[in-house]
Amino acid sequence: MPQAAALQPAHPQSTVQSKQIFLQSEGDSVAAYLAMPVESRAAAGETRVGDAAIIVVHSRWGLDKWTKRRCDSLAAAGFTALAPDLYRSEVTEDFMTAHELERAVPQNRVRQDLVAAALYLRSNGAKKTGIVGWSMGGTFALRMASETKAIDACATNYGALITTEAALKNITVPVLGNYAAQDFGIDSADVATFRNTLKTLGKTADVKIYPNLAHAFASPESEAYSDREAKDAWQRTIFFFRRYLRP
Amino acid sequence: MKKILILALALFIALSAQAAEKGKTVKYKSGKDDVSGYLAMPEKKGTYPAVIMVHEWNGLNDWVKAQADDLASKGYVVLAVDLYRGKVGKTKEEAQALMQGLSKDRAAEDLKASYAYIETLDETKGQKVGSIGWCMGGGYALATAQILSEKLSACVVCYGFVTTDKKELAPVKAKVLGIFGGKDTGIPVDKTVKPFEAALKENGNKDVEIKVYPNSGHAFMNATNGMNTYNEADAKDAWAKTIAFFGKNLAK
Repeated sequence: MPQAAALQPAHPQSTVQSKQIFLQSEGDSVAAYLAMPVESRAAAGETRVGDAAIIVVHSRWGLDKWTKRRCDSLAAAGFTALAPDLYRSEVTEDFMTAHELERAVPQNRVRQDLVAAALYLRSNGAKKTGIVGWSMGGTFALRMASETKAIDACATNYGALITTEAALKNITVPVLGNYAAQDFGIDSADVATFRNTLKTLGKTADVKIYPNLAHAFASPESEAYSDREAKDAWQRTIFFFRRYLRP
Repeated sequence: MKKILILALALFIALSAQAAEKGKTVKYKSGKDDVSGYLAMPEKKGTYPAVIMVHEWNGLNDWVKAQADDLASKGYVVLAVDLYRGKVGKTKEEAQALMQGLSKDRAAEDLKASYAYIETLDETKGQKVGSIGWCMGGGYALATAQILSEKLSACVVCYGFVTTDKKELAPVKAKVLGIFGGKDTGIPVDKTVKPFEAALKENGNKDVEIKVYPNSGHAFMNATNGMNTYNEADAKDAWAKTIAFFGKNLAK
């Protein structure tokens, strides 16, 4: 297995171009951060995304710098990455403010925004579209896999599980899961059941439970951050998308 | 000596806490899973309308049980569900993790199971069923009305997240009372509460009652919410409105 560091050039910005675009989501204009490999740079003003694109769903803090760096990192690995701003420009580092923002974001609007992102990528040339998210964003990513046909592969990092067979049956795309054994809110026994049920249903799924880690272990701002496993989870994510999004 | 005193004190607190609890923990099935809830009933034997009660982000804690006890004393069989299945958040970080990790579809199954359990009780035979919840539980009280549709007669949403989507609200046949804080930044009155009310009315659910307390923020009914947003006068008024609403829509 190559080291995760090998996937990320020393200066990702030199191989990546990024800009803010606007998506049309049921009458709303939604800002989104778009990052692409340099080789897909199009003529002035035009966007032509690569064959393999990924929607990046921010966590409850909003579309922050870390989420944008995830997009850059995916672009450096050869993907077009698009992160819609589900909060409509609100970003915070404050715990309770994030709680308020998370409560205020309408779930049906989130789904519209993410479907709008998928449509944007498809209409601009993407042949396959994946989705990845962390925590709240991981919850939304997994729901997109169950509730829509808009995506082709789904990676969730400690997002809330889908547990009923009926809802799991709706998942028709490959699923990657990165979970923490000591997550206070997501019981590891439930993650194991999730993994087993997907297997029994014949789904393509790779769900890893990292021992001794807590929720948000991949986020450098979190107390639970663990560098080695964060890199491993990210490496798994990139390999997963290479496998299922590339022609 | 000091240790003994502390032990004695702890024992005293534990005993008095137990004495204050009038209800009991009950177990029932949700699909293949064993789940539990806190069941509180009026002391006098008889049949009573039932209320499914859903906790805040902390989980089924003593505050929720106290609300169940109080509502039971007004003449209701109250089942306070435990969507977290035994876990209670003691800090806001733990509460956040629990809320974040809650599986929405499993919660829906558990709510269905709570109704099925209520239906097995002699004390609720032929009686109406309602729901109530605060904060996260307010959203799930509404979800109960969406899931159970015409089986649910009354639904009280206390500053819970509510959808404004007409289609999603279409199954709601219960009478709805919505209690909100005007200073609740998580549920803006103009963007969320008013469109919610309008969508219900457009769906033909004409009796929806919305009460916005302009000076209160989120979670203002809970003195133990840890956010310093408790407003005693508004809390008392909101609880009185809740009791009156259930009286009108469940007890008759």
